Amino acid sequence: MKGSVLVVGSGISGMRAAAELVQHGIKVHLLEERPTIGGTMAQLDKMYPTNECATCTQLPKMLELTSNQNVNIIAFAELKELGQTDGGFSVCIEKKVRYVDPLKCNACTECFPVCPVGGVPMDFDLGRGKSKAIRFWSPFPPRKALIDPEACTYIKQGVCGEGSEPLCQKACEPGAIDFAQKPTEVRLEVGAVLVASGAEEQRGELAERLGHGELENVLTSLEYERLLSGLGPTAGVVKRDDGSAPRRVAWIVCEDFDKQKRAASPLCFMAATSEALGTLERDAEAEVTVISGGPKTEGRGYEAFRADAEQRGVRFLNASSVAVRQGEGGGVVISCSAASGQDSELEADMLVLSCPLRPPAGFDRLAERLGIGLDEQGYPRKPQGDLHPLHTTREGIFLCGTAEGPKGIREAVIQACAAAAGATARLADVRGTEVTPPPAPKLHDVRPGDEPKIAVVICRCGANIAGVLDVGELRDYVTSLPGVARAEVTPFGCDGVAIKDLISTGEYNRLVLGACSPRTHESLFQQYSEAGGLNRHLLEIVNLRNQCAWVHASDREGLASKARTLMRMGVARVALSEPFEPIRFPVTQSCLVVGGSPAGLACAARLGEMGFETHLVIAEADPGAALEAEAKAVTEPTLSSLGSNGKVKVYPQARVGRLEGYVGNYKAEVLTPEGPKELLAGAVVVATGEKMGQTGEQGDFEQALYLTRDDDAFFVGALGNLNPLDFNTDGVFMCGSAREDYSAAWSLVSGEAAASRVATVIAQSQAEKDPLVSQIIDENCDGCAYCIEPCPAHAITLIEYMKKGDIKKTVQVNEALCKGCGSCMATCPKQGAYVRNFKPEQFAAMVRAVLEVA
Amino acid sequence: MDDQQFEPVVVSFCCNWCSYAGADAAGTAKMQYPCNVHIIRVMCSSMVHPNMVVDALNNGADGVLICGCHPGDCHYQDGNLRAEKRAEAIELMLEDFGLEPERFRLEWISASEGPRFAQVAKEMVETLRDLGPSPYRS
Repeated sequence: MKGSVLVVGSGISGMRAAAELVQHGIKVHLLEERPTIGGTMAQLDKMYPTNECATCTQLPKMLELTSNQNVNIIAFAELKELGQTDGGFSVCIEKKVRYVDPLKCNACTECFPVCPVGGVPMDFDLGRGKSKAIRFWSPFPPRKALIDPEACTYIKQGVCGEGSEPLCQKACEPGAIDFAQKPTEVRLEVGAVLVASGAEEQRGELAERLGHGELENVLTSLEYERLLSGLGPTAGVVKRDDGSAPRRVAWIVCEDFDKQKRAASPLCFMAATSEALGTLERDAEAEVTVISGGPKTEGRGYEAFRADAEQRGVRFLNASSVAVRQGEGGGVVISCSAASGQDSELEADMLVLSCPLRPPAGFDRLAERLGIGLDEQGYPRKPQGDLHPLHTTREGIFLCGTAEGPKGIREAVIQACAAAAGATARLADVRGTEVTPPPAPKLHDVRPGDEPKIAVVICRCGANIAGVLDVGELRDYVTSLPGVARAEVTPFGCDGVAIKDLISTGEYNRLVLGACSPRTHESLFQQYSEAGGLNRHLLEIVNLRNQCAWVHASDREGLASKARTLMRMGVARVALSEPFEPIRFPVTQSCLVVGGSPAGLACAARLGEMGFETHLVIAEADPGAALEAEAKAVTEPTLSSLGSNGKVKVYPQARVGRLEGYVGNYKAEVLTPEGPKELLAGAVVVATGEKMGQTGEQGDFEQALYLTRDDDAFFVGALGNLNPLDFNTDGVFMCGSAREDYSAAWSLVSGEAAASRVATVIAQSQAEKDPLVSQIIDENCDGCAYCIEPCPAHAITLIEYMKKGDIKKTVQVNEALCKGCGSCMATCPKQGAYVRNFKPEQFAAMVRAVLEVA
Repeated sequence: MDDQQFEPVVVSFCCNWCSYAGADAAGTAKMQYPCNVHIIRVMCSSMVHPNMVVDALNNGADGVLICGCHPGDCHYQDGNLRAEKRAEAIELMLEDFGLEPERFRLEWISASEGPRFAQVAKEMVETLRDLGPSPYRS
């Protein structure tokens, strides 16, 4: 059996499952049919019920995956075959033809302007955006160009513009364009497969009846999301096809008006509400109306979100049937019949159809290749008698996300975690065998006091930077700056050649890159820097492309001066930067699960199956004793696996007393009928179930872990749709009815999902984290403790110690907990706290560099 | 200095997770905004000490712009709301130093709001052009 997993689909659920798995010690092959990762979520503007920006939330996760050496992203490829091997699967994948070698393409975009074929519809924008025949498929990774063979005149007719030579090929410096490219085959062996192939808007008959494709200005929900997105075809401005701005926009929750279908999930109603709110945020005077069969808000925070939207001006109209016709000036007239028999007409400038989800086109073919059975609605079916929502008819293949059925992002994330836990449990014996640690670099010895010898590399980035900026002149200027020992120009810094050559000489102790954005390239450039021997924290990236060349191209003189200033700023900052090793701290590889709810039992059982020492503390005399019939049926297999490998120790009729410590290192006192027992755990799961939620009874440990509850006595978790199982306290998780009312099946899923979260903490005996955390300057700190409350990580404590015969108060930072946000630094009245490499003197030096006249 | 030629200098602290990415998105979309705005990346808008703002203005910057995530989007829960509270303190400090309130601005800009970043940058520069140089400019 291989300690690796194939994840089919890279939407939010596939991405999340992949991220969980690698942290468990499982190698991931992430297969994506589209040319870029991110799935449907990448096309959204905002998410309900948190109103979070989807890009802000998802992009960092994409970048983490693309820079993880244990995640093999196979984009623009298709599963061909899934054979059975000894306990695992043999995989055959076909990579589609993109006419560009992704290993050579450095995303310089030089080929785009020379391409004579424009106006090619962008699939990512559902045809609303237009591009050249050679392009990026979306703004997301992997950032590699590809050619649309349907549009490219060279491919179709051998003609490119006026001639017969392809212009893109001529413009491509790295020689990435390859018209002879053929589909290639990739063969892999994996131990488990996750199906995260997503769902798509069901258009078809219902949408057509409501005017989609027939009437002007009738869009689907996803099409409208693209208009709302700042990265979409209209840069976030809602426009009709004729360019005018709609003042009246209406939504129809389609499924409510189609009686043949199963009951609507809250998804469509909530998406419509979210889009209506987004419209109001852009134009407070807009008239926005959501027409449905009635509010559908089952889910924590959903009703509050709807009520807030209503309060802010979203109108909700209940109807029993709707009909649509074209109105004047491209408008749409919606006739609604109310249940009360009253009919009304609504005029809108634009109509958005919130369409239900269905399995994506071609899913039946994928299912066939996977060897899994489908139900009559086209979703994967479960084996006979198996109630587990993530199981398929083929052992070792698990479902996650909307591949299993329609659901929102939060639910998809929970399922993804549960699916990852399922796969890891299956591969418990081979966990850690396929993953490799990041290479340990041999670094030059750089001391904080050493005189800076800064090497500067300025990237031409093809014409992106050099086309509008005299980079030679900039290099000469930079050479004159204090501390700069050498400056060079390179065609593309992202190939790593110039960086490694320069740094490996050992002559330089700092590196400044005038290049693209650190948001997208920092991790890559840090790898090159360390490959050359320079600690990653001695590298500074100056964003000459996204925040200079691209935004000031219309003012060449201003641009040149701005570039000099930005380089001065970067040089000034890096001169004061210090090298740091990652923070490492020991982790107890066991878990404490509090509560015998179905979720708690599922969590403990899964942790046991994954091979982790687990302490399950329950109030009941027997696990499962208090379960109701439905929960019992679902939880039965779980209960039987609880004691199967001796990893789970149950403490009946017990509760948790004192609890202290921090992530990886908790110490708990368990009060049992035989007396108190002390145990150690790297992580804690709160699965106290609805009983505690209802009674509001507080466990002793809650305060120690900074856990808080809302008005309904449910626990308040970490913010955000992507953290549904986390508390703000690291290493503490929740599941089941501790957070919201769940069905028995969902409790099971959320319990297993929490097991996955736990495994990300305790899979290794040592944790490693980013060292750019807060530091206290003892001489400056007078123990005023203003910094303690603002710290979102609860990482700061007040201590007293004897100094020269007196009691000195000061604060202490737990580096394992600190996230480096710097709130302490901004709160301190005495300059007693700073974040490493974000020192006040570095900011002061950068500001001085701005104000200096070049 | 002739008012016509006055080019204000703006220092902008942008949070790593949302606003800095928003400024990147303005670049990807090739949106043009004045060169006067200089971005300094911070991990969170709550990292910006009021002194950093006041010092920049006292040293001759004509304006300071802090950009953070929209409420609810903060990578560290509520750092942006802390920045908002500190903004009130900053405004009072500006008053003490005899600086116009327009010289400081706090804005929420998401990773996809490139157009908004460009717009805010433009507005800030225009406002400062009208206002004239900081009295602390040497």
